Amino acid sequence: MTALARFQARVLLRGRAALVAAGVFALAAGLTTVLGLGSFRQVGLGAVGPAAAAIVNLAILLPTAQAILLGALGLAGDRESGFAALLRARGVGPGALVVATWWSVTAAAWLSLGVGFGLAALVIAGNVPLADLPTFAALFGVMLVVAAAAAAIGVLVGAAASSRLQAALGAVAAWFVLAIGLDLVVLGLGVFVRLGEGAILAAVAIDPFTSGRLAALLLLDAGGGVLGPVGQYLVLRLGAPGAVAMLLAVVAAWVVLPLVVARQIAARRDA
Amino acid sequence: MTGSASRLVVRGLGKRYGERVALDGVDLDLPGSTLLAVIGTNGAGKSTLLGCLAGILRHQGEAVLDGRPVRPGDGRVAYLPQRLRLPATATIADVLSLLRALAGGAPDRFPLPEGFVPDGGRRIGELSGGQAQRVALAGVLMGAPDLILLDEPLANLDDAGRAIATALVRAHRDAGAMVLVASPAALDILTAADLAIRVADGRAAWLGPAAAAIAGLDRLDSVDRIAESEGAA
Repeated sequence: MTALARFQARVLLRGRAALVAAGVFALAAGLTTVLGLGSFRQVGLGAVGPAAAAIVNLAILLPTAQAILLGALGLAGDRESGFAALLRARGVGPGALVVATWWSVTAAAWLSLGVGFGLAALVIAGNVPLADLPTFAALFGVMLVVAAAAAAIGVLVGAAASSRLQAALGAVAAWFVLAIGLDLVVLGLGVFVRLGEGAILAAVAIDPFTSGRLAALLLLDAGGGVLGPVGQYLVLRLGAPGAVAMLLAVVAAWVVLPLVVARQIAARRDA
Repeated sequence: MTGSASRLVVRGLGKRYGERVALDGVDLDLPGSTLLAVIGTNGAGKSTLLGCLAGILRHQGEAVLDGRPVRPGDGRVAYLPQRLRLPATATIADVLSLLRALAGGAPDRFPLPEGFVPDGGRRIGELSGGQAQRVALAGVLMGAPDLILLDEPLANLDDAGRAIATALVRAHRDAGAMVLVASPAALDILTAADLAIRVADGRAAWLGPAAAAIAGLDRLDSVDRIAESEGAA
């Protein structure tokens, strides 16, 4: 499986999509950081928090979209092109194919995050105390796990789809629901007011992106309206460290569970 | 064809896609090291037969080679799918290196002739269809697989490529491999084959010496009519 994972990663990283995604995220992250630092300095506030929070929100949107889409297209594309059949006949099991695809897509998303956060760190390093950089590194770590979860979800979509087109549409839909749609539903319907504690916990469990974003914001010591009802509830019940731990556990579960389900689906269908 | 010395035994191989029966209980007994041409019209079930034998299609029935059920991953099967598209951004060296690793590091039965595969640094996406097919074929034939399943291996190849590919396939057969080659253009492969099976409507409609199949082609100028001639006889 190692050989296949290395092969898949090389194939993906040589492609235009990975480079374009990394470039776009780096540009957006750099620009956001500069603007964030500049605007908050004008009103006399320490700026690493707001600037970093802005990058977190960007990281929730761009690298996750890249990871879901490439994950879905990777597996569905290999099946459609006959490459998966070639590999399966040579002894690559469905689990190995799923994990190798996930790993290569995750590596591409991590490249994007690395370039984007790296550029942002360069900007921040010249403007804020070095003491703030460990927090920034922790944010980076959380976003790596979120990207890995997005890649796993993409691979699951690819395993279930019957064609590349269906996989692409499924990936876009999944990304929209997780990155934007669930938040809109939760806020728009006032679910928490009506359904209470159970709905809050469900909202955390079903959305790894929101969980990752909340964990990152808690690391930045954000509070009040920034956290939203879910974040405020978790801090109240578990304390900030407990909430971060729980949120990270949710994101980690979203790395493992989609891969397990994708493996089951891949094993039950023709290569 | 049956016999006590059968090396590849296939029983009741079947495949359905919903209501449609793509392969309908195919039985097969092949002796020794055989090069079997799998012929038939488009949609007859040739690719499905090979896919089931390769274990990449879920199916009914069983295939046994040398007394052991054929399973993907047992290191004995090499399979070239029809219309295979290798990843465009991979280099030739990447593909061959991966397939060599998957072949378990077994030494190749035969070295590839000089120039059969283009320079290893080139990307698959830069190659012509025929060059990409050569790379795929070279990769599939790596190591020493016991059961080689090739679905239209000569597609897109030029005359030289066809000659080399055919020679390679025969050499693997001579060295002990069981080789099944599917092709809609029957003459391509019948001239090199020992036996031929004609698949029609998912069934094994005819099985016999490849020479007889060629004679049938000469006489009737149509693979489809072999069965008719058999029936008439």
